[in-house]
Amino acid sequence: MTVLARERGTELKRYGYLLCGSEADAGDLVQEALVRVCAHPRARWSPQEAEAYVRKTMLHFYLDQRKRRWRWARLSPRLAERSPECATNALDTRADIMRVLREFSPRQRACVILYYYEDLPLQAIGERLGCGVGTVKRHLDDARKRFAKAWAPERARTP
Amino acid sequence: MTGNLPELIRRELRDAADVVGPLDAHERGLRRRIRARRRGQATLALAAVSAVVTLGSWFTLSVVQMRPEAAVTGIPAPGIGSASGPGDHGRAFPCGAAIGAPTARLPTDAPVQIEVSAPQPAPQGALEVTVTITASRPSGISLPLSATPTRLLVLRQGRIVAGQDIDPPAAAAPDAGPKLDGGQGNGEVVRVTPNHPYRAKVSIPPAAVCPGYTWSALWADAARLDLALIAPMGALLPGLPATMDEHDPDGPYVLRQPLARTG
Repeated sequence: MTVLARERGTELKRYGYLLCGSEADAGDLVQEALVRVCAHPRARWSPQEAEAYVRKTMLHFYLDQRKRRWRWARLSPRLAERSPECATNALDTRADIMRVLREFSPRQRACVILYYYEDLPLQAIGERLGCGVGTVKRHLDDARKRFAKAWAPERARTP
Repeated sequence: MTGNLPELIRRELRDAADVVGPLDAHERGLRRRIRARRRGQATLALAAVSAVVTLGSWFTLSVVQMRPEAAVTGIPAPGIGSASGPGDHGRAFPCGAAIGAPTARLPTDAPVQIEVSAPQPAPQGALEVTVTITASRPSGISLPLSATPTRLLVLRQGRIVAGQDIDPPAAAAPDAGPKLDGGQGNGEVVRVTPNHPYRAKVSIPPAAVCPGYTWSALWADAARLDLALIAPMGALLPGLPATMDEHDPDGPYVLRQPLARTG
């Protein structure tokens, strides 16, 4: 756990940031995944296997959290606040892609990140998310269209 | 643009992720959380095991009580088809309860004698007997028999297998409770003379058979079963003190005979 947190912690946090859209949430996500994974240590785990398992746990925890928040938001529309990931990221150009990502559903966002950031094949993404390859393709196609639409004016301005 | 779009998305994602700072994880805090989580899981597992063991014990006990042997081993089965409420004598006659030797007998030279006929099949497979009270000289008895708390039980190895207390709602049904008829009058004391014996039919309602038994099975096994008549001697035969068993002087049990006895 120590080695994983020290050597791969930043990379895991980047992955978590793309999922959550917030640095603070990303840190919490990584720590929660580390705790969950290390509470059930296997006898012989290579660092790569442990990291893969932590990433998988992060993804599932993120999706579960989104689902819970969505249910809560449905149940109590008055109390529901914008989640931290929706908070405006007032930094630089990365706000662009993060803004577009925020418009995606959690699963669609996960598809984009797993495909374009983690470079996983479609089949593996489907297995990890528990859906078919067709669904993954549909999510990615829709995402591409949204990215194209969002970036079109900006790209038109760019020489 | 479409051709470059995937590459653009990849680059943008990498750029967005690159600005994230290092993970600020305190090793001690993480270890504490891991220990707490393990403790919580161990507690949950312990609670689950306890619950399973408790449920298993309860289920096993329930199954044992529902087995036919339970009736002859004397384990009452409350709520499983037999009521455990007190009977008419203030005594309870639940399934499996042991009934020992007769506790009250009339002296052989008493002027009044009670006989029970061989059992006859009653409607729906149950049984009935005819109770005959004879008198060698004019005597007064409390009649009809239905006015006295008289019970008929079927015993196997001395334990009740039919005729037990039944649930109050069932007891309120028209065919529940021991059926007694043949009386004249209503609880009054009448005289029985040598030429006019008193006869009354006493039956067990069809529903009063213990779990695990059926009337057809009982009839088939009649050779191993006994019949017991429970009646308050004092109420039935006022003025005729019966011989009481010194171990159970209040016992109302007056007669026991093999079920297969032919009349």
